[in-house]
Amino acid sequence: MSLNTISYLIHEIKTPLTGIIGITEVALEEEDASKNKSYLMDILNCAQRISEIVGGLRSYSRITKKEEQSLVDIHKVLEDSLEMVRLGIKVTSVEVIKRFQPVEKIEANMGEIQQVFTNLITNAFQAMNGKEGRLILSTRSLKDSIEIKVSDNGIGIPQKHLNKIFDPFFTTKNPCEGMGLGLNIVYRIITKYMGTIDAESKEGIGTTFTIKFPTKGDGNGKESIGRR
Amino acid sequence: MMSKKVLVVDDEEVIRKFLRIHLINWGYEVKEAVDGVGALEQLGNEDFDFLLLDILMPQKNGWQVLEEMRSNPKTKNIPVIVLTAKDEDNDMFKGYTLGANYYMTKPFTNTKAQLLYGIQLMFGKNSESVNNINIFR
Repeated sequence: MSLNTISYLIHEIKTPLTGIIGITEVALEEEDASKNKSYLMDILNCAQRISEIVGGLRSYSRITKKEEQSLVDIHKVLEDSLEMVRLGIKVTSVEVIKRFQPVEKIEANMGEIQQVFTNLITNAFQAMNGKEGRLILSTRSLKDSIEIKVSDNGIGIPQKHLNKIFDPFFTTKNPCEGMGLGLNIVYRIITKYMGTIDAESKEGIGTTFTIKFPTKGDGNGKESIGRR
Repeated sequence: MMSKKVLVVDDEEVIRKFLRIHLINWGYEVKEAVDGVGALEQLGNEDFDFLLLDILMPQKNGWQVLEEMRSNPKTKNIPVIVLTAKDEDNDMFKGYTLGANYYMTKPFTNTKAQLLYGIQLMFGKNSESVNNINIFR
C-alpha cells in the first residue's frame, strides 16, 4: 500500500472521528435530553463509516494471503452471489437473465471468486436502483479461457471515469455508501488468477463487465485483454 | 447589536452540525456551504465576518477558495479559520502562506476552546465578537 493511499485512509478515518468527538462534546453539555437521540445517531453513523473502512481494508489485505484453493464451479458461484446480493439489497424490480454455457471449473479460492461476483452484482443492482432493471449473467468457453459477463441496464459510467474505476479509493458514490475499494478488490482477485477484466459502459444505457479466466495450460498473462 | 455572520464550509454534515451548534449558542448567524464552489457563490452574494473552511472538498478545495478569496477585493480581508485533517508542517505553512488566520487540525478535541482561541486571534481578546462567547456554558 502506497504512502498516498495510507495518507488518504488517515483522512477518511479522521473525518468521521472528528464528527464523533465534536458531537459527543455537544451532547455532554446538552441539557435537553430529547436531542440526545439525534446526537447518538450522528455518532453511530460516523462509527459505522470507520467500521466500513476497516472492513474494506480487511478484505483488501486478505487478497494478498495464500488461501485454500479448489476447483470452482463458476455457475454455482454466480447463483450464490446473486442470491446473497438479493438478500442484502431486497430489490424486486430487476429481471435476471442467465445465459450459461458449459464452462470448465477454475482452480481458485471459492470465497474470492464469490467476492468478485458479489461486488459486481451489487454494483449492477445499485446502478439500476429505482428503475425496471435487467441483469444478464452469461458464461461461455473460449479456446484457452472461460468468459463471464455481468451486464446491467443501469445508469452507466461516464466515459471520463471508465479508466479509473479499478483504481483503489475511486468512487463517485456518497462517502457513506462506499469507499471505492469494491472494483479494485475485484480487479486484484481476477489478476491474482491471471485473469482479465474489461468494462464497457454508456451513460443511461448500462454497463457490461467481461471477465476472462485462463483455463488449463494458459495463464501466462501475455495476452492483453482489457485491464490487467 | 447585529449578530456576526459566519460561513461554515465543510462537506461533512456532522461537522457542520456541531460547529453550527457552538456558533449559534455564541450568538453568531451561521450560513453553510458543502463545497468550494458553494462557498465562493455565497461569498459573492453576502457579507461574512469570518469563515470556517475545510480543505479536502469536492468541486473546489479549500486552498482554491482561500486563493480566490485573497485575490478578490470584496473578500480578501475576511478572516479564515482552516479546519482540516492535513496536519503536517508543510500543510500548515501552505495554509498560512495562502492567508489563513488560524489552523485547526482534525480530529480536534475541545472544539469550543480552539474555536475561541482562533476567534480571539482574529478579532482581539476584547472585541465584540469574543465578549459574547462563554465556553463554559
